[in-house]
Amino acid sequence: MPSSRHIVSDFIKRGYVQPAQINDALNCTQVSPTINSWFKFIDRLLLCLGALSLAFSVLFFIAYNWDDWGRFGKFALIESLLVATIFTYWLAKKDSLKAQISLLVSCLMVGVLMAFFGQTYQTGADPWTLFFFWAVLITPWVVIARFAPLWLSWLGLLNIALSLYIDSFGLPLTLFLSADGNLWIALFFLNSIALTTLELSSRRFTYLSPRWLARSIASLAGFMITFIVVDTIIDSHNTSLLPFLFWGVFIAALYVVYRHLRHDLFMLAGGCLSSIVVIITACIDNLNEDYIEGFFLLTSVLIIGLTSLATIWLKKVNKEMLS
Amino acid sequence: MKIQQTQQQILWQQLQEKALVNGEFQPAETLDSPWFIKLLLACSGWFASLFILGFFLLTLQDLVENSAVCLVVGSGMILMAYQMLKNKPSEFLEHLMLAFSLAGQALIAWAIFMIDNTVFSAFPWFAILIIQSSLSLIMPHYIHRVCSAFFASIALTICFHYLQLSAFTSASLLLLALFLVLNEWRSVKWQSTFEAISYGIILLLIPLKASYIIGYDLAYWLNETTLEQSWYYYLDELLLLFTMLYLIVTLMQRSQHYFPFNTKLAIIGATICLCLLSMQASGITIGFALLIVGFSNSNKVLQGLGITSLLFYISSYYYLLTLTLLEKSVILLMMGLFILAIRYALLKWLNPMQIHSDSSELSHKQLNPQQGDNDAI
Repeated sequence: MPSSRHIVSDFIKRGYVQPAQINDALNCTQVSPTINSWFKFIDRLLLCLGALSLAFSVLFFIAYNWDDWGRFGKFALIESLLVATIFTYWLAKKDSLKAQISLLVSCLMVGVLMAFFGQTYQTGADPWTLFFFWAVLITPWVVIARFAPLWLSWLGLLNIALSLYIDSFGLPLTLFLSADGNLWIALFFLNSIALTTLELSSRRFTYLSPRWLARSIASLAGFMITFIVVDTIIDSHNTSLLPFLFWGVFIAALYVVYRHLRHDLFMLAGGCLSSIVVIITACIDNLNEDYIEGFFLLTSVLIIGLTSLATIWLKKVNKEMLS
Repeated sequence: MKIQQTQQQILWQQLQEKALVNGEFQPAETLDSPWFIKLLLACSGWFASLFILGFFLLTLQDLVENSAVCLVVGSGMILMAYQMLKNKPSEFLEHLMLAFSLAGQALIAWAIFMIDNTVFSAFPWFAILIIQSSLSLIMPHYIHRVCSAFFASIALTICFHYLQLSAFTSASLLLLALFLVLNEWRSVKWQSTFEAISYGIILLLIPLKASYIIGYDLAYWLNETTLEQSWYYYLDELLLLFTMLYLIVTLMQRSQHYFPFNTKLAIIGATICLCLLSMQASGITIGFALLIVGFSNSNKVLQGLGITSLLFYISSYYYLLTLTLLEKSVILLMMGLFILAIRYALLKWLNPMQIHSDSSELSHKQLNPQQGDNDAI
């Protein structure tokens, strides 16, 4: 959907607004923010940065492992901060940014506490367990907070835990891929499941509806599957067709969902980019060294041709989506 | 086009009520493509130009060793692209010409380096700076302008390096980008050009500043001295502080009716303190500046770039090796407490009710343009 900035710019460029009145037009349509908007923006910015600076300050302090401070003092520091953030959440108006940031900081403190516990008592646990149980323990707060960035951080923890797990133990199924291929496929599935769940629930839970959240997860999943397919094309030892199958299903799903069910041009553009990258890689991989000059020219024309087709189609879809 | 038309009509009515628009409302058939489509086009243009360049280098192997031939062929390609792009060709031709022009620029750059016989001097980079700056202004294509501004920024960075002026690079680029964004509506004709050039500069500025954290080799080469302990680093950060002040003062001047003198002084003081406190975490000032200027112009792309760069710079602070974790912890503690103190002061002394009454005064002024000032354009 075009923003007010785009529409007002269009009015100005078409000469509907006199040059001397441009500033007033921008103020009137709030393209130039009002003082109240500025106030809200600065308030939110300062709250986020201030709280995160304090939380990271504690994280860095614990990571420094200062001997002059005993373990009791450090445990007391982390736990009192944990209690303080939960108390702040309890006092704050629910669903306010202050409450959400309090829970975000408390989730961070849980991780710091777990890491410090592992460091102090040398539990010998695998690294993936730290991130996995961190994600598990903060799940209730993530649900309560109703805060999209916290959900994304939670998914980030699961991504780290899964990659560390596969790095140590591998996948139960080899899928005829390299160790790296298995890791990327597993992460692709995790993020695809997360994206599907998000899209199914975002209509019901409005706090999950900001499009940047779904777009970030889709970009992550799309990057992973494209990377595996490109790697499979380039690596002659990799003969598995599974990445192509998964990639095909992913692109088809993107098309069906975001073209017909939930209009989102960004996702379609991402699908086009992925397809262009895969086709061009396949073309380069089949390079015939006898006709290298012609090959260079052909490849450039192919890139431009595919991009032109993608652009024409995306513009057409954009027009339809706005109608 | 119903959704688009409805949105347009709502904004049109708002403007019409205040007599800010002339003529009959006519819905636009199409609006600008979203940023991600432009990004897709820019990336494909770059890649295609590499292959076109490869084609020329292979087919004209003997000729490209002659700098004059490279200059002529390169200029010819750019001229052809200019002519074609001026006439708004089909989608395919548009992309082909973009790739042709980029390949032509590479040939010209190659010729310049052959003339000077070395890449390690300021002259060829200065020549590239002039060419790319001119192209960013002349070429009748948005993405071309972004690309040319990006290349011009690279050339400027390297020029400054050879002139021993590296400490001025980040601040100069940020200042130029902020100036263009803040003055984008000074001329309707140049708005799109200013926007494209500012994006090109910012796309170089963000990774350039990140090189102080992740690309030590590049940063070391650019400064040719031990970075963190040198006056270069602090001079760079100090100049960024001044650039940030330029932004804050300009924004306050545009809304001079809102703030009394003491408040202005407090805002400037807070900005200086914040920049000084975050000085060790390279790049934070740039992230702040992009976020604020993006918000001031309702520019979502700039806001997104500001947030992303800010998150990157803050998280990479952990890996900075010149400070111990304890020192970083103390700096962050001071920063956090200071920021929350500012917020407390903001809520206590600049409460929205008071602001609301001030903004009502301004709205009254806006309704009477003769009283209002148009300096903000």
